[in-house]
Amino acid sequence: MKGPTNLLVVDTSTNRIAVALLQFGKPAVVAIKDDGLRHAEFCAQLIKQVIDESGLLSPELGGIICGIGPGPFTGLRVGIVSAQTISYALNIPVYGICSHDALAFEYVSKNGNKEFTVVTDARRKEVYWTQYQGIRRISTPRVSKLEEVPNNFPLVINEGLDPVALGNAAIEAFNRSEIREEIKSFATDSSSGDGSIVALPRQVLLPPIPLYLRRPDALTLAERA
Amino acid sequence: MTNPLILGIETSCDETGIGIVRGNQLLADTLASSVEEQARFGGVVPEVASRAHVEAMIPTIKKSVEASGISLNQIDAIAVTSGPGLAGALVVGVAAAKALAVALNKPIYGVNHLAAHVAVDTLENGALPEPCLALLVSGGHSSLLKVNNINYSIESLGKTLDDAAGEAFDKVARVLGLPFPGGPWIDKAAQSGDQLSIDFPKGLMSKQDLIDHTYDFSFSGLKTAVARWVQAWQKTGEAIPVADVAASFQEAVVEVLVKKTMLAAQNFGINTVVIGGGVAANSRLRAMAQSEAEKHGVRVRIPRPALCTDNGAMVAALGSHLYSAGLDPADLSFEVDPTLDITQVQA
Repeated sequence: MKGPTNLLVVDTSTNRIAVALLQFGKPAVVAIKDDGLRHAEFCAQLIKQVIDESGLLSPELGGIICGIGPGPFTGLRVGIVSAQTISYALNIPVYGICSHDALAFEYVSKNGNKEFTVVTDARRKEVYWTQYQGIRRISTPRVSKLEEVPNNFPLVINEGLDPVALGNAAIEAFNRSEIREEIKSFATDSSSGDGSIVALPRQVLLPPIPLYLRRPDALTLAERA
Repeated sequence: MTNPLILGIETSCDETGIGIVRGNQLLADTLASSVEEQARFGGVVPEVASRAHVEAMIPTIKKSVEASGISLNQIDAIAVTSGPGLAGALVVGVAAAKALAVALNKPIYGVNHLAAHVAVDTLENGALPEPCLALLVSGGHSSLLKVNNINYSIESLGKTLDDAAGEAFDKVARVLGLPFPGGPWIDKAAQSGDQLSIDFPKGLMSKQDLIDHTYDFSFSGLKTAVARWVQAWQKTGEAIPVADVAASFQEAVVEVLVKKTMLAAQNFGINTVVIGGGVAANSRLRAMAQSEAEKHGVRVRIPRPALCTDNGAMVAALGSHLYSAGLDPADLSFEVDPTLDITQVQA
């Protein structure tokens, strides 16, 4: 990625479909729709909207950042697949960012470096949560009932993810030399074989693949037996 | 344009299919299937299918583009299954298709999965006579259609009232201890069995049913009858005659499908029938359809098995018809519709 110029940002990890186009030296162009059940309908339309409003043509995009969750799966996948596909079609890089990192980035920019816990809705009467010290992730994202979230830090409950914060978190990470190392795969739980995340590397830029914290509900034939 | 270059994306169930056609010419048909993963669960688990689509999408598009020998920029339009199917699975294909449309600045067609199963036949057997009949039988669908025009006029004559035919094959296979998916295993076991050995019920074939549900199907009762027969046999302590059960069950399914299709051909005066869907790969269905069709003066068209099961080529084929007919592409905000009716050929 040639710096942060013409960076498309997409996140569908919450009820919000959040898209932005960041251009060097220009205000960000943002398109947002708060409609939790219709990510597949509107994501591409919002992407087209920010490209058109910026006066660019799609081949002028330089890179893509997508939120990889945690978030309700069906909506989450829309943003990630869209980002992967545009990356392939235009032959430009795509990076994933833990969506909670964007919420942390936004919180820190308003409240300073503190310890806190980002909490988002996981449906089924549960929440996704991640603990932070400033913008640094100090816990792996988890899913649990709200009352089971550790209460040692204040909770930052936010469903309104700002795509500009997501992009800025990526740019900040990109500009820090120590995390320019090659992105490694997630550490996954090999015993379950279902891709559930058990540990997330500390680095900010990650592969553009969904951060699943739950395995599919169904039991295998062996488990049923 | 007479021979448009169309890329088709199919993700309505557990197959990630990407096909590329130029007019009626198939350039590439690439498939990634999560069937082995699904077999661990004994059936299709929607969440497992959706996750597999995300993993397979880009590698499958890449493979298809490479196999076709074209460059992505040359594509005239993108077509994608918008329904019917599993919502979470459809969403992945539609998201990818829309993103391609935005990145390449090309038109997009959201298409009906069942209509695509009919359209794929034109890749092998040329233009469809209008009207024609289509029998679509798979794990998710069992429908008899009257196709007046593949682009905009398809009528549903009948469909299953309960299980799809392929679903019945899967469930009976499980009762007989055969692996998932059951279709090929039942077909294989039936080769050495006697189809007349057990008289299983043939759904909706009574005199009254042929009046009330002339072209509808029902396979749930048959499936239960097989399960009960096997249960009763187990009490004798003897080994289950798997081949005979498989052959008799298969005969009961195929006979109903073929008889009702031929009845519709007669009643509507139609002399061409297209058969599609995964169950169209069944050897007994292919044989009985051909022999009965000859008796009735009907021509049966069945694409090769790889084009009968879910694939991307069928979606590209329908997209090619829509594009060539000058029909308007979809708006970028079109929805996935898990229960999309066959009367709606495009989104």
